[in-house]
Amino acid sequence: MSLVRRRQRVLVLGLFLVFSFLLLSLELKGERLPLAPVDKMIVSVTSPVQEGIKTSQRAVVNLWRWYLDLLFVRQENIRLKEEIAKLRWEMLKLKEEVQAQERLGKLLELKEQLPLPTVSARVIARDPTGWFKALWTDRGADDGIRKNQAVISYHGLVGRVVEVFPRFSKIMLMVDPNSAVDSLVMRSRDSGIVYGRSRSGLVMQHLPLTATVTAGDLVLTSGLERVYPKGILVGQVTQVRKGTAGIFLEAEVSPGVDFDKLEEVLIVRAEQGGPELSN
Amino acid sequence: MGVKPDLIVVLVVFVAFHYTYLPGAVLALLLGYLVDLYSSGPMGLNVMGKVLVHYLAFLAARTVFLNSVLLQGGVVFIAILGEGLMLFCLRKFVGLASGPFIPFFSFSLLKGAYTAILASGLFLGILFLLRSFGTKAVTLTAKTLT
Repeated sequence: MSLVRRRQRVLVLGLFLVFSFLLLSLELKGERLPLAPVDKMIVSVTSPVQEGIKTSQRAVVNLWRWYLDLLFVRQENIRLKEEIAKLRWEMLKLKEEVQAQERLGKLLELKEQLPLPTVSARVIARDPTGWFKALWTDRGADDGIRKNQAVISYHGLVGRVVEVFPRFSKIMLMVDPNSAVDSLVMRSRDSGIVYGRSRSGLVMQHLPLTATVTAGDLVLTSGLERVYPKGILVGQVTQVRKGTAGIFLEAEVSPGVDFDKLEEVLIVRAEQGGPELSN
Repeated sequence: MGVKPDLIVVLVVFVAFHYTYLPGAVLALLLGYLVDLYSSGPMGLNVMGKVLVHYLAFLAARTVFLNSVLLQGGVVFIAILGEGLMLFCLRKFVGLASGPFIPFFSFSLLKGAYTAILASGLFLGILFLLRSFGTKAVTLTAKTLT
């Protein structure tokens, strides 16, 4: 039985091979078996199937490509985000450097304008309690800093040195309740004492009733108490009223310096009561 | 390189392993004829190739169990490589332009490898389709049931 089947198989194989060889040889001779109608029928039947297969194949390929694109877009997105973060950081650094340069430039300008020996200092800490208005600088006794030296910035008077360490110093700000600065009004030359009032700024007291102070007047140091050089901007008058006793006027003064934004200052190393500034 | 998997060979190998000789051979002949109809080559070339591949696969089915992905891929890979060589020799024999052997062989190798990777999944797909249409139509041999 097996032998019969084997012979049958070989016979079928032989027939099919002969058929294909016949097709091939006729084709090579430029002739064809008279199968054209059958071919047409087969093509017309199988074409839609083939087209369907092609379409679905294309859909799968497109889906795969879409997925790959999406994958690459995701990777690209991550890379670009990292790059943006890096660039943003660099931009911030550059901006910070530009601002520092501007501030230092102004400070240098002020230093050159002042006829006083000064030393520049960086603010390294602020008084954390909030009760007293003070800050710390990176200059101390080693740099020639002494107690009661005046501290100024490009925008005006900052305060004075109250404590000195070899490499640090503590500055009491003008707005500290313990601070008092002998001052005068630039326009009318009326004199008084500017006291610190912590959060609410400054108040100029002991102004004579005859004083012609008005809002908007600039207040400068008088240099009389021999701590602050004369002619440094203290602030600007915002309001004038009679004092509680009624024998003096007092004025609200807005400080020229924004103490919360101070980063660099100049410490005046002149002896107390040094040369006065032009005003 | 434009390499595409040869699904027709996968089908021919599948029928050689799952069906008795005659229906498989007829299908191989028809598929070869269909390929020749759609291809730009001379008629009969693919008929001969597919019929021979089917016969050799049928002989291999006596001793090989297609019970692993590796074996399925391996058989398909050898079938495609064998068919490629046969077609190359046949073209040479009848005097048809077939180009240099190395690029032709490299192409067949790539095509075989690509199809071999997909072979297992394609076999499963064909089985699934046939079972969807009724398993009675499939003459599963004892070899493939393991």
